[in-house]
Amino acid sequence: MADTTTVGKSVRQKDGRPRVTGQARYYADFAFKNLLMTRILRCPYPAAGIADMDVSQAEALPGVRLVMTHRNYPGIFRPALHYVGDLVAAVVADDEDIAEEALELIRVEYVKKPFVLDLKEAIAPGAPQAFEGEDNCHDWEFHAFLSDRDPRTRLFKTKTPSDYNGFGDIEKGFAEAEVVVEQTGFRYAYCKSPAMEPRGCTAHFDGVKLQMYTHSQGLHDEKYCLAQALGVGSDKVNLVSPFTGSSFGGKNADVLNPNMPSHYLAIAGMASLALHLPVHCGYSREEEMLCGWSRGTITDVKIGFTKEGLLTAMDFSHWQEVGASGDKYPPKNAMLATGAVLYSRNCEHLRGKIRYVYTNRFASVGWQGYGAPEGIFAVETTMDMAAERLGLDPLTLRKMNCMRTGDIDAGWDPLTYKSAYISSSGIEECLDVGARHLDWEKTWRHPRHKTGRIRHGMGVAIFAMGAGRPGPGNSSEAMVKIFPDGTAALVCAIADIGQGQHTVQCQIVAEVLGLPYAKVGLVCHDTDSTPFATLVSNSCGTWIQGWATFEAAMDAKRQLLGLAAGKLGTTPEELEIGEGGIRCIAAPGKGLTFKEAFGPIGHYGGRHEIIGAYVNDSPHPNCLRDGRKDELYIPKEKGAQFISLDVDTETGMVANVRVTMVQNVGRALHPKIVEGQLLTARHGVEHAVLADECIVDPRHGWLLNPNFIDYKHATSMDCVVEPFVLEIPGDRSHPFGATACGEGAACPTLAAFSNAIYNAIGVRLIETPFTPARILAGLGKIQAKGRKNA
Amino acid sequence: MKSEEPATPTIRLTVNGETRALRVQPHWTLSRVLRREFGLTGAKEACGEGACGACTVLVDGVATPSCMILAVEQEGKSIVTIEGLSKNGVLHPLQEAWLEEYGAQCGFCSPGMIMSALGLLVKTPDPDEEQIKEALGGNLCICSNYEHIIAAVKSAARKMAKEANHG
Repeated sequence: MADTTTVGKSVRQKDGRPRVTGQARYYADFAFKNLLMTRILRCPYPAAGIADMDVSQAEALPGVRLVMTHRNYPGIFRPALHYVGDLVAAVVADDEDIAEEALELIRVEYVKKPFVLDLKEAIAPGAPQAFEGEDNCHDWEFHAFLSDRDPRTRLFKTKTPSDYNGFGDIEKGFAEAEVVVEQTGFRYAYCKSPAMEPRGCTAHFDGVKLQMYTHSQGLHDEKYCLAQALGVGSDKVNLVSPFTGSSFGGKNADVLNPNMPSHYLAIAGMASLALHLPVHCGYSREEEMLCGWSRGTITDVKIGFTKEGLLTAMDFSHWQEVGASGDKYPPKNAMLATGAVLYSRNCEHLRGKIRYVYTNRFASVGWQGYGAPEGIFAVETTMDMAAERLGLDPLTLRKMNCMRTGDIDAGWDPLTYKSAYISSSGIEECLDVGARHLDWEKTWRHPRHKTGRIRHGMGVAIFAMGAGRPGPGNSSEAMVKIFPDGTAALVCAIADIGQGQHTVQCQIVAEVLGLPYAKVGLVCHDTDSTPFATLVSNSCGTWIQGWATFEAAMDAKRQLLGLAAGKLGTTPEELEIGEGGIRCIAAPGKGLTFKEAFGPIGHYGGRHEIIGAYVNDSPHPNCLRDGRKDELYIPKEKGAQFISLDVDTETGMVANVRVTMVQNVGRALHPKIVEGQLLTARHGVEHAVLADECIVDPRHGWLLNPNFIDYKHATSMDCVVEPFVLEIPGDRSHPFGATACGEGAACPTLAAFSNAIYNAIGVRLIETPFTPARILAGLGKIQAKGRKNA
Repeated sequence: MKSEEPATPTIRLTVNGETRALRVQPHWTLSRVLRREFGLTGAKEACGEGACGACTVLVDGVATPSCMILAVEQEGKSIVTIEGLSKNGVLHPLQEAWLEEYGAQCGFCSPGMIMSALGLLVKTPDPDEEQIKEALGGNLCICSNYEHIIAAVKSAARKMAKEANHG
């Protein structure tokens, strides 16, 4: 990689200044005249039907503008209710006090129904049905068997529907294995997808167009769904989202799916269309806690090895709770931990059966890692057990078997490829960096050597996480303008939810054009002024949007150089752009200012701007091997995480938690931003020891920790995270060699944590959170107690 | 059409050095009044029960979650919000340090976090790391950006000490 001027530098955040002055406008910060407020009536039962309802008193209350129920808005509200907090009605009024008063005047007659609140109970025979008339447990509908491996490419050529994901011959694989390690019953608790900014929006129909102010992960996608849900044309909706107060995947809105927690958009949108006034619908923290949960899995793992430790066969069985419906796709990412991706190197036989399960808890959403952390928790804890059985150091076993650059990714994405190449790995190097930092060789000791009340432990886990899905339905667009004063603008709707995409995309433009970063502006705030950009999920922004931005800037650059070449009598190839203008590479004295290149301009004409554009209809040609469409390189997030901690064997408390997070990012386009992404490893620590989980009263399904006090998030005092950003060059799937960086940090933490606790006290914990009670029970100091609804 | 509460007292609030008389309902919190009556939306309301710190402002120099106090009780006190930190477009050293150290990811916690840091530096100009962690212990950053934030507070403290010495 040639020297760069902007890429690779920790330049100032493009929209950082308003974030630190309070001028940044998140959706709730926009002021409107005559703003109407909404309050929502929510179901108090985990399963119920509405037998009768009377809203007349609420409608008669002065100041009430609209009462919405399943009778007048059947697309949003339904008479069948499936969790505590499910939507019953909404009141739109002159202020929130009136709306709240009106809620109390709505009379509802409920018919209570049987319910199920626990994943294990939901999959047991004879369990009550979360949705009447429908099984709770569903096999993944895209299970497929891969076969017909090409001897030259090692890629699978045939994909056939099956009742599991797999390849090879699983029975034969285990029959031939010399060592088999098996653990059933891993449980990752159902956890809340967090965000500082609660869900909400303000809709303002101005008589022509609905302006929708909200947070967003994918402005155009959300607008498209919203327009359909509201029954208006896409041309009549403008989604405005300049700032989003974090999201981590969980706040991604899909208004067309009535089970997904994006009802605020439909409610405010419909109300504003009906009333021709601005309508605010924002959730309180408690309401926010009633939507958007995730994780919640049971996993069984069985792995076969040669006696030297080569992993040859893996059987993976996985149940994922999706609550009252919600997002059913995360189980596919649990497969990333298996011989499909993370351990694809030696694994010849694989069976992965994945399922999603309904309960009468809060609907699930996709969230940081999108199923991968749950699979990794189970597999990477089992790998630790295997290392002990095989008499190998945990690092050695992983290095022998983890994915390497060019290995096969059998990702089982329903939309796209059969299998592909992993564009770069570097996991072994990540393990080395972490081990050196912690002096692993000297400090790691088997738990049998540990004594005393406070015992120190160290654990490790590796991870692979998706980085966007190549193929149909995954594209992104960009426009790059160059102006006669030598400034440029990137026009692109990529959402910046804190992960730094606005900054990084502008760096790419500055780099390609050869302009200072400060001279690249950004137009990104709404759908009316931007072309389509991909939803930021699967940590794909730098890759899928990155190519669009890069190519749009290249297009603009070619046009500008072409314009200048005509005036200078050269070819465009002989020219380059610099801060002052365009110059001849061979004769630096010869050149044009930007103004001269553009030519005379005035009120009535002239060339006022150059517009470069590109649609990255992924995969970009650079991601193909020798241009063959079926030989694809896919980037992955990948790395290793180490956890060091102390366990108090008298109290079961864990303290002094230190997370060493090492990730190969290929090229850090902005080192500080990348480091910031690695710091999110802290989220796993919350699940491990702050006892984060969905606790509902088994009698009536009420959430018992619906706030930031009882559902704890890590503060500055809870642990230390040490980020190590590795830059191993050579990843061909990105114009600057960057691979993804975002969700990975959340993936390995629970496994590394469980392994560290085992290393401290010799107790293997396979259920999260790792509470003092579980630790003491493991030590035999108290009676193990079953926990409902974990 | 609005249902009027029986008593909407007029109070005088001093915010960012300016005193203004306004009518407030007795149950309105300071955060609501700042955001909705003053239009100062830097302080965010993310929990409404003092558990996240996003609405932190200084009240007589003390970092306080503005969702936890009533506006009617703030007469005669000096309230400083994030909007009161920069002067004529010149950023406060804490804000500069936040940009330098990448203290804001999504930025939603930043105004409250910066005000808590200011509350610390007003009392303790040269804090150690534990003091910084404790002072920010009531402010959640769900982007989990604490290492950058702590670095920003340290850097701002150094800069402010330098400015004080030269001043």
